[in-house]
Amino acid sequence: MKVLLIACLVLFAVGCRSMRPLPPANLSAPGWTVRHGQAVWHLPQGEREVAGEVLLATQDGRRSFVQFTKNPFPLVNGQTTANGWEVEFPPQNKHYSGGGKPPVRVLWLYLPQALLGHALPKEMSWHSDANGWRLENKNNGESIEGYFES
Amino acid sequence: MNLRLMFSPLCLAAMLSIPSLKLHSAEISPEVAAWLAAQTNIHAWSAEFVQTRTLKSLAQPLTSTGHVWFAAPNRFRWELGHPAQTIAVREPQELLIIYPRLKRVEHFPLTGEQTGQWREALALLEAGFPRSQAQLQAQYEILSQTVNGQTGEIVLQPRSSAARRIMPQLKIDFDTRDFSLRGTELHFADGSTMRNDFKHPVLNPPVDETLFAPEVPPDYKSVQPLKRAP
Repeated sequence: MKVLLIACLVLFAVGCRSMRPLPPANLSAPGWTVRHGQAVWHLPQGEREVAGEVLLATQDGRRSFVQFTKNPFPLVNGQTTANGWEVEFPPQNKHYSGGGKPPVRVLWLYLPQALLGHALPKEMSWHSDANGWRLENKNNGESIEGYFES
Repeated sequence: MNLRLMFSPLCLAAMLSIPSLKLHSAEISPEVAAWLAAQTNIHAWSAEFVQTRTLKSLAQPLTSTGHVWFAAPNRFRWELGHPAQTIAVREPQELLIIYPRLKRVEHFPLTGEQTGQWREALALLEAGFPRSQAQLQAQYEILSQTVNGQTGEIVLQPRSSAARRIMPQLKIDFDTRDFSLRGTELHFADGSTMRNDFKHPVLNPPVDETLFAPEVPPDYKSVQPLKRAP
């Protein structure tokens, strides 16, 4: 997964402030909406892309959880809260976290916001229709394109 | 705790404090030796499975279901979901992963120049069906062997350091009466686990060759995620 390692390095060329791990999300708790689907992750700065399963959950628009898996291997796990964010890339055993809004370079953490219709950074574009959705960082060409089961 | 695990014979035995046999090191227990010997009688196998994934960042496990087919010596087909949303087929030279809804097929070569942790980890997916003790021990170090009642459990560590970086440990459960595969549990480097519990197994069914050589529709996009840029 050299390709993902490179992606991680690119994503985190800008430093991220470490903070305490966010508590585990309990998706069975009230207020969570869970979506399952599949997506193709087009990595930044190149032609490489990989498909996999997406799990995305949001809680009252304030908290989110996103996971991208190439079954059986987890590739991306991310969470956001009103005050912070964290993301890990298990193949590289890398974990990053910080306060405030997620870095623009971590596209996965903006997928919940896009689905909820929240404002996105100006670098990002979002499109969705009956066939699926697509989130793109126009600055580096990274994109995530997929669908959720209805 | 997952109810399926809670009420498995293994956990019940542990709760009732039934004495168990636990061996470490490379010494093979009689039960594991018998299980390995029985593998040579398996020419084909199929089963349904319940897949349970646990994550540090989630308070509760995630589950999904599917079907798996195996044909000796190393062909397999995994279908995840009903109808299948992801299909993984191990062909002699490559692993195909097909996503019907995305109209996409990915090719992961299992031979040739492309090496590394990803390929080696993919190769470990055959672990439930070793053909011999030598084959098992060539790929894995045996960390422990346990028998609790009618369930044998063997804990393995990949010998490849590259594969270990993705999947440091693997557990196999088998029935000590008929040596059938009960489950596999993959432990990943991030602390997450993925367990497959098999049910309704069929031993040595007629092999449908088309299962292991799927025809990919011409309108599917075909990609090689591990291919190096020219």
